[in-house]
Amino acid sequence: MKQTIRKLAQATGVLMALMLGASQPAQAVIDGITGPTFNLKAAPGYISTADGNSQYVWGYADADAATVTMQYPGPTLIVNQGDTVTVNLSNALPVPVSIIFPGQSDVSASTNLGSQAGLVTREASSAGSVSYSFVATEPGTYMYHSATQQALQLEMGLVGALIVRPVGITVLDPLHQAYEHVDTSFDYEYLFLLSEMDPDVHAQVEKHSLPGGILFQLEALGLDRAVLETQLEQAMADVLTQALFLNEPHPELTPLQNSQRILEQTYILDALVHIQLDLAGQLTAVLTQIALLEQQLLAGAVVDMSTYTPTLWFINGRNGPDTLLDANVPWLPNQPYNILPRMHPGEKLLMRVVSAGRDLHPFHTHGNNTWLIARDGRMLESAPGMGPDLATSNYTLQTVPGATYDATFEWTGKGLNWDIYGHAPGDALEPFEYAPDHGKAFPEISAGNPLMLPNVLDLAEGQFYSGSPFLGSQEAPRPGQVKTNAFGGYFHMWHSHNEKELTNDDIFPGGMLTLVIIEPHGVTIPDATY
Amino acid sequence: MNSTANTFRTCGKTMLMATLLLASAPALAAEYWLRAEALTVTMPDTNVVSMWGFSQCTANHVICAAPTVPGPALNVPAGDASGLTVHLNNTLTKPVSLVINGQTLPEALSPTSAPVWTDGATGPRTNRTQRVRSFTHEAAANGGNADYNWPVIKSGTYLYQSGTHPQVQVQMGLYGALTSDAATNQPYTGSATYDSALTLLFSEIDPALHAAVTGGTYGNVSLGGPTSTLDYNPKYLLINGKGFESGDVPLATLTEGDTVLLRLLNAGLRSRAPMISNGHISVIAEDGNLYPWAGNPRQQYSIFLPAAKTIDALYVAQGVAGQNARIAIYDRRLALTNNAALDGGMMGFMEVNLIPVPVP
Repeated sequence: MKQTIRKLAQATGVLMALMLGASQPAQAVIDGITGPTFNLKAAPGYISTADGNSQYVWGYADADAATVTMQYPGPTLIVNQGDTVTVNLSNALPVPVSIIFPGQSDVSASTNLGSQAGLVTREASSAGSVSYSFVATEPGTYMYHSATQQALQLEMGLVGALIVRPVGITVLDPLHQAYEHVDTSFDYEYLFLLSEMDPDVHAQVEKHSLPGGILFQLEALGLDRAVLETQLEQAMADVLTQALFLNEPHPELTPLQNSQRILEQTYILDALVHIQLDLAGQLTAVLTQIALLEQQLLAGAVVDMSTYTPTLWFINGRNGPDTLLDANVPWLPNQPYNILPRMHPGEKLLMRVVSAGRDLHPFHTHGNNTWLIARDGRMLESAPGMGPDLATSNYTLQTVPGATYDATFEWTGKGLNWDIYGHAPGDALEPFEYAPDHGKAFPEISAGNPLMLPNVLDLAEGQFYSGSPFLGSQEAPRPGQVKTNAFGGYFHMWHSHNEKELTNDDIFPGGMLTLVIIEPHGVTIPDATY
Repeated sequence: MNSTANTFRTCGKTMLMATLLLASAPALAAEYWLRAEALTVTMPDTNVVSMWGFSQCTANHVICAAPTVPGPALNVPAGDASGLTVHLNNTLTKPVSLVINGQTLPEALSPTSAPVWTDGATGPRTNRTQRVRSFTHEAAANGGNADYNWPVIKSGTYLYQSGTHPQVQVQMGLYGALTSDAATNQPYTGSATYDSALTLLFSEIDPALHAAVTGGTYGNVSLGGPTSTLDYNPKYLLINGKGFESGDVPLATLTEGDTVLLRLLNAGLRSRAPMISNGHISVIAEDGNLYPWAGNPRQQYSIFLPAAKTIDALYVAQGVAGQNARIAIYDRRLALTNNAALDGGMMGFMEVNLIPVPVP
């Protein structure tokens, strides 16, 4: 049985590789935009949440894209160590906005018209712009976010990641090394930008913002700007038409008939002018109301951020299970990034964790511990040049708001104490197989008491179970079972261990949740494209 | 003579303790007289909140300054081996006490004086209805006195607070900072030295809870008060007792190159994450303990500061892009409001002035 399964796995693996046309696995890099000059635009928009709802958000858009689309989180900026990074920020929000780059030094900001002094840094005024510039002197994982009314604007979504790739003689491959030491090399890198939202805040801000929110408010007041504008246009046209009609010569009429006609038409014109003035007055009232609401928004008086209750949790801008979809799916146009880490046994995966929200999230990796090698863009090293010799091993990563982390994850099956491929002792070793477990059958529960599975009628299988316990093997699903496992890989849940964060507005499963897939060798893990 | 004798008897234990202390140790370099009393503080939105705070007094509490929140900064001079003594007088209507997290618990002379149970008894617990009221001996309500002595003070940055009914009394305002350097301008043996020190004590105010406590409805459901701090909801977020308002003076004015020791303390009930807007901070110690590998301290821009935590960190002042700079240090958990008003709360600035280049 085991022989058959193993042969099946080999055949499947080879078949997959052939199908995908690669002779060696490709290596995933993080989606983002490279600069080092970036044009970003702060704009409002909507995101889809996995409870079937949508939220009004403010986010950064890549203004250099063919179609400028606000995204949450903002575009991941990827530069090289030593680059002079310039970020030109234009502002399509009704309030001022800005960017700070925690961990960077000597960030200069422009003083052009359309920018203004802010509390922490210079800002782009509404409909204005500002530019920032700095030298990215140190490699690592960082973030950028608004520094304007941070309690509100960070909640609204104005945050993104910044990655600085290392440069130097100790850097063998900048796309697969995090810092200037070979011990920070990796095979795959994935971004984990962790955040949360309180929909009440977004609803309140939406009510006070154009285009949808203020209209909503005005409708509640019985005022509809668009309808009024249309009516006013019509009224003005009517007045013009009537005036022209009034002033038309009618030589066929007698002077008395003509003066009667003029009198009647003047009454009509008068009435139409009254209608026009009335509508104009209503529209002025509406515009005044809009200006007042905008002013309130500007003054930050719209929503009380001293108490907030998040009910949505995100990795890379998506709630679970949308995290598992592909990047750039067309039905999530404002949430381009996904998170579905994949690797083969023996490889090393780098987690670039960005704690972008305001809450701590204990990020828990099933399958193995991770090595935390860097924090806030600095290796955990005992002395410069030592590399991450002070790395710590955790299965739960404490993520402090505003901090960034680099952690590596490896998996070989070591420690399971049985052969994950179902080998017989005489079979060849797989790449990176943990040799001491080669050929081992399942451990016995006790001597003379072999492992016994329950009756098949008493057994249920998880959606991601391949049907076989062996890596790369598949069994047909039992009747009625759904199976979502393409290559017979092992799935481990990676998630916030603050369990309520695994919900979308109280619906489980969801929230800050993804799966890592340990794929059998031979399965191609595609590059991200950017 | 009679009056003197009576005074001696009524002052009793306190006098005896003081005498014994004076007899057994050389003159104490760090000795404070503190009074716990009620006060009101006006918040940036003009709301007036009632609080409890410590005031600093002259010897024997003859003259007391106004109470403050946080309480007076206590300092044991560098290299002082004679420890710390605090004489506490209590004008509140509830008993109070004094503990310093990270220093040994002070005992009164009687070894069974701690804890103090909710019925006022001390010694072994004899009754299931007894619950801990105080971690150490108390200064009784309405004028009571108690002395606290720490013969040896560990160097570093520490939070002192009431050790009585702490879930209420601490957040009412009974807290402050204790500092003691190992040597001049050196917080710990083996640590780097600093040019100046800045204490940043983060704390919170839940005005509804304060009103219930001072109004006497706390713990009394029939009077409509909360029965516990379960619904704690802080509305005022403070650094060094103040919510930020634009126009505030900077926390510190520094010259480029200055090394500032940031003493971070959290007297609130929620975790905070002090963050710096430019560059990194070297985090060197936690809870009064120097981290190992002091020669290469961990560099962070966001620091985890849960409730009751103390952190020592060094910041080297730098300008920004060749200009004088205004460096923000603030809570990245975004407690940045004064009640509902934005751009307030736990935020402050350090001004950094460049060294002027002499004109030839």
